[in-house]
Amino acid sequence: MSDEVSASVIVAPRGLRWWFPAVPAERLAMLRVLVGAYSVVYFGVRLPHWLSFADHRPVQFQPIGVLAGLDSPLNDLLYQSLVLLTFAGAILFAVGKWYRVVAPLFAGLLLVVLTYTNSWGGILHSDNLWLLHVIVLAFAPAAEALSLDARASNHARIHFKYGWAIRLMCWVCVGSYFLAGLAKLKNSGLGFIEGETLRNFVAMDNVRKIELGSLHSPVAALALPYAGAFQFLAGLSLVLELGAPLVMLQAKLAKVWAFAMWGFHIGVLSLMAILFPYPVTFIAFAPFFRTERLAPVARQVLRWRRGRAPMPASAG
Amino acid sequence: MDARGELWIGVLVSVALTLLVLRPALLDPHEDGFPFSTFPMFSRPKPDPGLVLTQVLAVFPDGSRKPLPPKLASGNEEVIQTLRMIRDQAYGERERATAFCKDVVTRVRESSREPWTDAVAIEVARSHFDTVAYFETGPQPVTRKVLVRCPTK
Repeated sequence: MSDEVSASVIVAPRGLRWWFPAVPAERLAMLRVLVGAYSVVYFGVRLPHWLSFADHRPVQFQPIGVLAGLDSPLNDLLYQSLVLLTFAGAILFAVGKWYRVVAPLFAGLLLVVLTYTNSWGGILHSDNLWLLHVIVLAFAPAAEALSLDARASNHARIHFKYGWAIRLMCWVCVGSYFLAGLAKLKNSGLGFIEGETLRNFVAMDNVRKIELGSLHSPVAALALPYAGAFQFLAGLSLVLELGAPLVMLQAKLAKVWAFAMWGFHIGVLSLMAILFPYPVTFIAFAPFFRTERLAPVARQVLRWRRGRAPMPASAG
Repeated sequence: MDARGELWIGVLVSVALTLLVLRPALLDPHEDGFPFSTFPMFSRPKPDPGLVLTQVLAVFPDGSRKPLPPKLASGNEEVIQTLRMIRDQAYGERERATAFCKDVVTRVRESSREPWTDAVAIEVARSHFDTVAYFETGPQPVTRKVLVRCPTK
């Protein structure tokens, strides 16, 4: 089934090696650590807000997605228990404990909780990619290094089984941006690159936020007189979004694209005060990089958690 | 799990998730969903800077008005969900809008937050703005119609 090149490198059959590259266990494991750490911190920050959905009036409930079949909101206690259980799942996912059972459970719970919080009259788009990355990792052997589970295991260090999930995380990322570009093209046509629509949206979004008593961008007022800048930004965003799938063909181009998209989100934050926390932390783009270089940091944390006990060789 | 099993899981998950993620490409961009989205935000053509906004305002003793923050206006800190919630509650039956206005008054009273506790009334209003002129000449609405007003005292 597989061609064993050496005792510690196992490659996929010919024809499948692009989607199943043989990569170190630490690369996938480090992605689990990064996405898991993001999940714990972000969940911790958002916990009071997400728990507060239990207090909303049932008349405001508009179920979507996997909850579309519900006639009324979940029981308050049940919903808040699910939220707390998801938070616990995030912690176990991050440290890689009982991963084969916990990770799919965490992914399922996160799907339910995020769907529920998006079922109150407006679908937000800031958590989609995070959730999709959690789902990919939940099905992958992402705890065979840098985890509490890895202490008693003895896995090959470089294996094709670690590669497909990283490819899929990259693909889900570029696919999401491609869809955003496609929606602009379908709705506005190539007229979007004239910049007038973008400029009016920046102005509208900021006025809307001010007049709804929310945070807004002080930078927008300075930028709005420069129509040419919005023409440039509109063209650039459309090229980055529609061209996203092409970066899957070239690793260096993918890295440049990742930084460009990060800059795009910083621009959105500056001009519209819209925070997409997952891309802004750069963790959304981590699958495009050799994340195993961060493994020593994760090892230090795990070592500290275990009272400075030495890490086994199998854990990297 | 053996190598063949690992390969099959990789193939199945990759194919399933790829199809689910890309399926919205075949849909109308307005048919949004979660977590598989068409990502339609800010994609519609917007050739003019006009904005009609239904908002919740606190009215102070000197006659000035300030927009209430989302948490007090709707009980939800998400501004986009607040926007739609206000719109849903303000139009339709008169009793519904009045009940919503009274809910806001209750939240303001319970919050004990300055300066909102000084408000003499809460208004749900429909305002029309020129959003570019808003930053160039001043933040006054072009027109404003009060839909419902509730005293706080």
